Order: sequence, then C-alpha cells, then structure tokens
Amino acid sequence: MAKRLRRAVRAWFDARYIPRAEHRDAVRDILWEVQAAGRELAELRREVETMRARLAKPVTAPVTAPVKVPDPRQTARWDDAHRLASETASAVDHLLQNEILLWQAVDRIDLEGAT
Amino acid sequence: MRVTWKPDGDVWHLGFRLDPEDGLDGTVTDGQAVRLATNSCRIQLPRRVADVHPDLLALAAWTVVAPWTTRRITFDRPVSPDLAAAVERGWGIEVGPVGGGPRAGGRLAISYSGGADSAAVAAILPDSPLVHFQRVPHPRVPNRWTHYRSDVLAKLAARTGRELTITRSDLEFTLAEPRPGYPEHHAVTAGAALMADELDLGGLAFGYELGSRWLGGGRYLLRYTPDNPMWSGDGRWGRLFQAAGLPIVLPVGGVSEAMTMRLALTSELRPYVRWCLRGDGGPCGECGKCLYKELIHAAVERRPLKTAITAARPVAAKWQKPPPYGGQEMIEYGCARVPGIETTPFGVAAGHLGATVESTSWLDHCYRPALEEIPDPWRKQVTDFMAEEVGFMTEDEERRVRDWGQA
Ligand SMILES: [Zn+2]
Repeated sequence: MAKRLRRAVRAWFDARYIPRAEHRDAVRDILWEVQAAGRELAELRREVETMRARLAKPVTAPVTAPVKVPDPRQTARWDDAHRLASETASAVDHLLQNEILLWQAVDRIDLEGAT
Repeated sequence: MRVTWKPDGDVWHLGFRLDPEDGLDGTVTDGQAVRLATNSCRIQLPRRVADVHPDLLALAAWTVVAPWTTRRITFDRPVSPDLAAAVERGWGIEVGPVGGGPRAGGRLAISYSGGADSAAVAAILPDSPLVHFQRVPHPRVPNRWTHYRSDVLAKLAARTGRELTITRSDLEFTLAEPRPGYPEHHAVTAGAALMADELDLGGLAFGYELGSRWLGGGRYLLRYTPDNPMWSGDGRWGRLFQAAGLPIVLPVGGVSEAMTMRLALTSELRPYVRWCLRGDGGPCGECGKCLYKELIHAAVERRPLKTAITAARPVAAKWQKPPPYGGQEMIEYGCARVPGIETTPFGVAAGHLGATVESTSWLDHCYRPALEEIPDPWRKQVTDFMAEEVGFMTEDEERRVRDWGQA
C-alpha cells in the first residue's frame, strides 16, 4: 500500500516541478491525490477480498465446463515471489549506492596516502 | 567527480567516481532533486567509431554527472580551453585536464523522440538526419519500469524513412530518484554527441517549444524565462554545447504545443507520432500526459474531447483545483477551443481561466525572438517555414509572452 501511495505522490511530483512558493498548494494537491489513491486502494482491496472469498469457496453451482480454480497455496507462492522480488530489488539499490560510497572512501584513502 | 570512458567495439562504457565532497544527492538544472543509483552506464552506437573528440566525450559525460558534481570535474582526456571555460563559467566547477583544440562540424541533426514536438521539428527540417535515444535496461539496476516501451519508439522512428541513427543507453538508470530518467534533460544527446564526428554534426535541434523555452518550461509556473538555463542560447547549457561545436537549435522554440501538434499531424510523420509509451498499440489514454495532449489535439481539430478519463480520476485531480497550472497556456488554449469543455475533466479549470479564442490567439503565432536564437546556417530555413506555415506574433502578442504570469 505504501508503495502505491508513494508512486501516486511521486507521479504527481514528476508531473510538475514547482518553486517553493507553490509548496503550500502542492501539499494540498498531494493530500487530495493521496486520498484519491487511498479510495482506489480500498476499492482494489475489496475486489481482491471478494476474489479470494470466491476462490476459497467450492463452486456449488452446476457448471457445464470445469472451472479452473487457482490453488490457494499457489497464489500464496505468487504473493511470496512478488514480495521477494521487490525486496531483492530494493536491496540491490542499496548495494549499488553503498558501492559508490565505498569507492569514494577508497579513493579518499589513496588521496591521503599520496599527500 | 572523475569520469572515464572505455570503448569496447560499438559500446562506450562510462564510469565515474565521486570526489570527497560529492554525494549521492544532487540537483538538476531545472531544480529537481535527484539521487544517484549507480556510477556506471553505457552507450551503444550503431557502429564502431574510430575516434571521438575529447570535448564530445566530456559533453556526453557532463550530461550524466553534472547533478552530483560539486567542486571539480576530472576528465580522462584533455578538453579544449573553450569547453573547460564553458563548464567553469556555467557551473562554477573546476575542469581538468585542459589541452587540445576545439571541434567543429557541418550538419544539423534532430534529437528525435517521436513525440509531436520533435516530429514538428523534423517536418520543418526535412533533410536533417534524426538521432534517436533508446532506453535499454541496465545490467546492474533492477528495472521496475517495464511498461515503458522504448522499442516501440525506435521502430516508429525507423519507419519514418528518414536518415536515422539510433543510440541505445542505460544512462537513465544512473538515477534512483525520483525514478529512472535523464540525469539532466540534455543527456538525451549523449549518444548523438558520441556520433557527432562520425556524422559531421555541427548542431543539434530539439523539440522544445514556446512553453518549455520562454514560458517557464518545467521549472517555473507562469514565468517568462528569456534566460532559461537549460535551453537559451546564452544559458549555461547553450554555451557548453556551442563550445563542443554542437550548438542547441530550437526550431519550434517560438511556437506553442498547439502549433507543434498541428505541424506534426499535418506532416508525413503523422503515423509515427507517439507521445505516450504506456499503451501497447498506441497511447494508453489513461495517463495525465494522454489527457493533456488530447486537450491540445482536440483544440487543434476544434472537436469535442475524446477521453474516458473523468474528473474524479487522480490523473485529472489537478484540473479540479484553481490555477496556476503547469503548461497553463495550453490549458487556456484548449479550454477556449474545445466544444463542450464544461462536461470534461477540464470543466472546472475552464471556469477559472475564462479563456477565449481571442485571449489565446497569440499561441497560434511564432515568437520572433526565438528565431533570433537559431544559429546562422539554419535560421533562414526555419524563419521561412514559420512565415509560410504559422505566421508571426504582432507586437501585442509578443508582449503576451513577455508578460506571461504578470497579468
Ligand atoms: Zn498515456
């Protein structure tokens, strides 16, 4: 959820760069966006819950063709894979940034050694 | 900051290291705060090139590392005194090493994105070659932006039938925040700069129009910006490109987005114009950019707005508030011309702005000072085109540009 909100806020920022004087308006706009995103999110969550409930329940109505119902264990694995991918990606981000700073520190030692 | 270029066949690898005083946080010329993701990127040229002038390598590198350079830049080959002076004067940054002569070239190339603005430039300069920047993934940075279909634009550019050079680069992934993108807007030219000797380039034309160049661009709202640091001929970037023998040329710097849209859509390039990269077979019609461009498109064609986006949608939120708006001149232009605007997501904005066809007709004409900025060899061609296809602003209309945001 935090990610989705962050994305909405960021997208809004991307859309217009503003000088400091406009920041008060900007904050109001962001709040509006956050609320809108929040409403969207609540809706999505309801949808997901409805879908989950539907999946969990055995199909009682007579069906002409077999309905393929994803195994809850499988959906759990998908969720887990997604979580792992996101966490790995942000871990890599930090690793790369630390690498930059590490090289900076190494260069500084070289510099100090030279003088 | 220290930068190193390593050629490997047709690929040029750029590596850079922070000096003790540099940090991960930087600021772009337009004021945007940015955070560094990684300190390497590469540019793939369409073929191996024999040699690249050190000023071109320095220019390309500077478009990537400028936001994070605080005191000094050390290049891996000596740059010309003129180029060093342009960086020192423009940014207050020490430059070294210095040595060697300047470069020069003959032809004007178009930095072609595939959007309406650069298509308009291509229509104005029918014989100029196109140079297209294509984003490719970075081998070290996770790509969370797979919906960005850079391959589509490259294919469309190829279909124009024009002389085309595609350069591929992952340099946008050096930016962690706010998202992958050009570290400086000028980084779109990094590949063109490396190809400039090979293609004998003596100038680079961009699709920045009246709003971006003179009415605040992305940096300011409602402000006349003759001294725009990004795009004015005498701004810091203008002087730097000039020093590298690649002056910035803005053929549509004097006309509004309505005019670039009209010029693009009435040109042979119409089938290849694309301003949104989210959709699969065309613009997505869902994003803020699609909504904005649709307003201009509808205004140019004087027809009702075609959109499924409602006022309640987050992408339309800013138009439910009172002005000022980014790109407000075009919102006024659109609100004054689109039939039934009241029932669209721009209805509230239209009420606030109260714009009319008369109050926005200055946006149908060309602002002459923009032509005066175009270097000699190309000024006449663009001026003749504007006289023929657009027409010039009157004194009163030019005042509207200078007074933008003051009224
Ligand atoms: Zn779109």
